[in-house]
Amino acid sequence: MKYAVKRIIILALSTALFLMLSGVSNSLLAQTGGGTVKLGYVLTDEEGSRAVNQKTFDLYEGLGISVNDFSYFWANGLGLRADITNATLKNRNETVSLFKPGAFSLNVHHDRNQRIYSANASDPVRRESFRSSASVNASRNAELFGGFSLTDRVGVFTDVFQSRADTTSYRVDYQNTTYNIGARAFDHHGELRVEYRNSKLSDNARSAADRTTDNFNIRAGVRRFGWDRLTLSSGYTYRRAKLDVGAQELETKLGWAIARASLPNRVSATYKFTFGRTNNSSGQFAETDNVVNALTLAKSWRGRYGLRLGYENRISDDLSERTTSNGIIIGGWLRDKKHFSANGEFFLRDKNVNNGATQTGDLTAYRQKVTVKYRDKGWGDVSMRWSGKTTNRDPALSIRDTLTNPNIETRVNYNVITTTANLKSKKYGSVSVTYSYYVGKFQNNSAEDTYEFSDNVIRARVKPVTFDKLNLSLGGSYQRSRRNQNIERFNLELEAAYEVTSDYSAGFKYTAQNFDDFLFADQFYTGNIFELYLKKNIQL
Amino acid sequence: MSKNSILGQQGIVDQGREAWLRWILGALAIVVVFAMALGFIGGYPALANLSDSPEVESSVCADCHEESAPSLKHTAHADAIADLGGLSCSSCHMGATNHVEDPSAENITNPTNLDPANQTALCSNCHMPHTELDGRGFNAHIDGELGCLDCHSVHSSDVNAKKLLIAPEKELCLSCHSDIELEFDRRSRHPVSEGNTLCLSCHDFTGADIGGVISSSGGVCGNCHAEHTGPFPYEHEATVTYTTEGDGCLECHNPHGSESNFLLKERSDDVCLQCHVKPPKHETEHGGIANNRTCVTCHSDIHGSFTDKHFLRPNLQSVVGYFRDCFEATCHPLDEIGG
Repeated sequence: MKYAVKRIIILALSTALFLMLSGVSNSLLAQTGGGTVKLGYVLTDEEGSRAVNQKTFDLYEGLGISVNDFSYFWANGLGLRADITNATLKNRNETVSLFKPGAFSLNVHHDRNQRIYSANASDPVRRESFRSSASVNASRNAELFGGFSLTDRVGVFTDVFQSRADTTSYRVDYQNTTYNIGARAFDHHGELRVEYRNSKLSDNARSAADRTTDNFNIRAGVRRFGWDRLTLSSGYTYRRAKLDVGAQELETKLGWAIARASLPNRVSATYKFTFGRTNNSSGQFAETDNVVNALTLAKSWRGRYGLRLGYENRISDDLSERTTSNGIIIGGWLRDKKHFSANGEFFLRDKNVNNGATQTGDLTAYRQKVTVKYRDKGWGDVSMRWSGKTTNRDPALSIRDTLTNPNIETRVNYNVITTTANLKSKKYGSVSVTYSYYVGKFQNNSAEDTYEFSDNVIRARVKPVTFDKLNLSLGGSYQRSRRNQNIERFNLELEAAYEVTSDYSAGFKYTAQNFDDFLFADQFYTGNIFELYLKKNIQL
Repeated sequence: MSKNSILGQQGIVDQGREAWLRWILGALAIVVVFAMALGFIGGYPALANLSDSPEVESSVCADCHEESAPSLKHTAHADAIADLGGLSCSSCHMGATNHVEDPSAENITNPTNLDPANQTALCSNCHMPHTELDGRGFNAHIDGELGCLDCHSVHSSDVNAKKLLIAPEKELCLSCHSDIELEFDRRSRHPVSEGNTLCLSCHDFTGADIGGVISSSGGVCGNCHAEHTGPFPYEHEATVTYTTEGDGCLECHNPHGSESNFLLKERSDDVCLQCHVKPPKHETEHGGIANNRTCVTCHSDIHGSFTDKHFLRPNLQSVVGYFRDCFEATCHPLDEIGG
């Protein structure tokens, strides 16, 4: 099965490349096309633990080829797009699309990469993904679509909680295949979409996990349903996941409906209702119902500023436990057409246990964010953003009474402030600087445990205008984590490319990566990465 | 009312909280009524309507705006105008009749100058709008704050623009959500910078995964991380959203990036201690297992187990080593731990 699928992948990619090349060679039919082809060679010099810096997870020494932003259009409207990023023998990321607007589209994506969890990079976790989709417009108002995807993952995880000796490793080795097929009918009044999806997990490391999932979705949307400005959408999903060994099934039936009305004076109202029932044949959570009601009202004034208010009620009931939660959201925004924009949002969720006793108990959560941005077409933009969230959990007394230390209350608080400036000048080039301050605190009163961190992160990129056929780019970031963490990280990127001719350029890129966790002596990494490349611009 | 609220001092605290919530809901109701009243005072916003025949033929527009036609090339809009009798430039640029007589920019609609709500209403004449909502039932993108043209450009000059987006997907999203960008530099992160994962791979607010709010499949995460989704004979409630307990994967993981392995929110056992206490004997007996080992050393099948209700490692017998004595005593016989 695995090899058959790989043959399909290779065949699909070959077909796509054949179409691309045959199209390029047939200049009589061609209209426009272009892109960039890059041939590069990477040299690496690394020291320390490969596991601590996943920024370099797809880094391989050797020759790589890229085809970026390639597009080609035939006179009859047929188009082709391709993006292949630094394909090497071990790593690749390719996307190819063949399409004709209003007629059909065929999309193929393939990527392959690895994650490293052991210091010496032995037995990394490799992931290979292939996704394809196709759609055909059977008529002006009908579309047929389908797709196939494959995920293949194999390797070893170590140190789930790093820097603590759990002395164990976990092997993963599975393939997950999915195919879907469906149809969509639509016109100015609405649309109807029906889809069947099937997934199969084949786990070589744990055969008990092999399973098949069937998913059936239907959704319908109607515009102008009896009233000019009312849009109704609704859908139903049936999902059944069944273990191949044994008879255990997890079955979900989910129905939802959304009504959205555009009221006079730029007021809109959105109401959402969702009902889901999940049955688990294992007997654990044998039948759980979930009901969600949400109402949002939004009002804008001349498109310059607006207000948004929402209320959500959620009920979850598994016959022995029942929880309800109420949530409100308050948001506002304003925007000056030319320069200034701002928005903010506050969300509160309050969850209570009505019947029974859950492990985590009552919950109160807030989150808020505010963004202010000023932009100018001439010189760029500056912005500031603050977002934060707080979560308090307070389990029921019946749970606490069984414990020696009954106070399990936990509180998580997290805030981040970010300022960004993107400045550009036709004469000098562009500069982008982003600075973020993160602060987080986790408290568990039961374990009398607190974990805090504060991070300062700055990233900058400078790109001067082309000087005597020389393009320069300099970028980097620096991070310092304090309190219960003690991490320092920086990376630096320098790229220079010389335009040899109008079509060809040659360049090099130097990247330095450094990571130090001062609390653990073996948690460090230093990498110097050099890339030499030749680039050709293609205009067809 | 919470079960706690009938119990002593905790109840008083909860009653106070509920009273506070009632105040907020009351205030919300007043504002809602006020907003509705405001809405019915005025008239409807002007929307475009498609008619059987165009207000002005596109060929007339092309006489002066020949630069606009190439920008529609290779898009479905060009074919729509060519194929459909009722669709033309004037379907979106309303007021074309007056504009032909007096070619001034003031007497014709430029959709980019419409306010967000009217932009969306205009495009909705042909396209089903993004009415879908986020996991909480809300969506800032569709409630008037953003219009279609904040992300899409009909007259896109870039032939590589997908879905007529004004910029590549990642850059477009991060231009507003700039605080997220730096999280993709973290020790553990999704490979967004490399293009292996895109924002819309997870944040599909266009509606493919509306069921994610009550998911038995790990929600959107299960699309790529299928090995962690059920069914399991012993489910960990926190990993699924359909139970009364958990909010799913995001209880423990921060999907953008983290300084902890596997995108975990906290570093080590703190992630477990969000919801669990350390059982007292784990700290005091047998050399204090909980002080020397992480929770997942033994409770390894934390996403769900096929063998044990405590998610213990199936082959725990062979790896216990240091604390083998625990399982050779009468209090924890080996046949209780599976494997």
